[in-house]
Amino acid sequence: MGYCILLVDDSATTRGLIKRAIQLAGLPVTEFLEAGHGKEALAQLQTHVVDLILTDLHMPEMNGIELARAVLANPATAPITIAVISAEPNGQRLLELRRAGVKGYLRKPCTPEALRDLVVPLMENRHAPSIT
Amino acid sequence: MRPQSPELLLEAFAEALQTMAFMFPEPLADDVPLPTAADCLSITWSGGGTGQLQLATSRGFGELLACTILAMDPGAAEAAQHSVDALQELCNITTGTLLVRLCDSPDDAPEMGLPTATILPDAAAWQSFVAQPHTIVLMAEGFPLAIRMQEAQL
Repeated sequence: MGYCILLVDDSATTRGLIKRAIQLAGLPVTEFLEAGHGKEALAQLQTHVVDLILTDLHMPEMNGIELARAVLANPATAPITIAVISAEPNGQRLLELRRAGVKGYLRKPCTPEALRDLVVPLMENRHAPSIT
Repeated sequence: MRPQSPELLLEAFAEALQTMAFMFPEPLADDVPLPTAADCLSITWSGGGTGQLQLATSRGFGELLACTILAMDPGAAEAAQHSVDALQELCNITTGTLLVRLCDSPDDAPEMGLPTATILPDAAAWQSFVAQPHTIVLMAEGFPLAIRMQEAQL
């Protein structure tokens, strides 16, 4: 059994980079889904069972905070683990994410090793309570 | 927020480029051909300071950056379609990294906008861009790059 990961970033290049890093880490991922912003991500969630969402914050249409809130407010999608990978510099907004239920954060630029170190524990502890 | 600093801008840009693509900016060599056309990426921020970061470089550098990030062969057909996207992400990451360095506290960091792309259509437009105050001209992998930060003049 493998995981399904939804990559949400308005940069297709970054989605490709993250996907490649996770593949190189040898994680048991059976499917990668991609979305260019929050609304596209919500549409993907209507037709796919997703284990982990890795999302950017600054995106057109619907940003990462709005996406996280929408996912966590819906009982059908609330169990999905969400982590943010972003260039966001503001500490208050990161705190806001944690309080909303986001379980991990990685600041860009990030190395493949840092990505692996973010994703592996999230996958191993999928049903652990959200960090506070 | 601290005043703009060429050193911090260079540090932020070098960190972004190295981490994204294992590329290293260098001083511009005399024999590097200047672009006859270039992509110009901009990103603004506001709150706790207002400003803009701009990055200009040739399309060839954008293609090389995309190829490196996505592990494509240099000159791959898909490189052209990812070129501007890769440069926008470089601009985005450089800006985020710079703002962290410029703010005394992470809580004071301003809100970043989304990157936008325009074209410098000819050599004259490139020369005009690099002639603006606070513009740093560099090269990476043999391609010229120009980067600058402007504060509170939007």
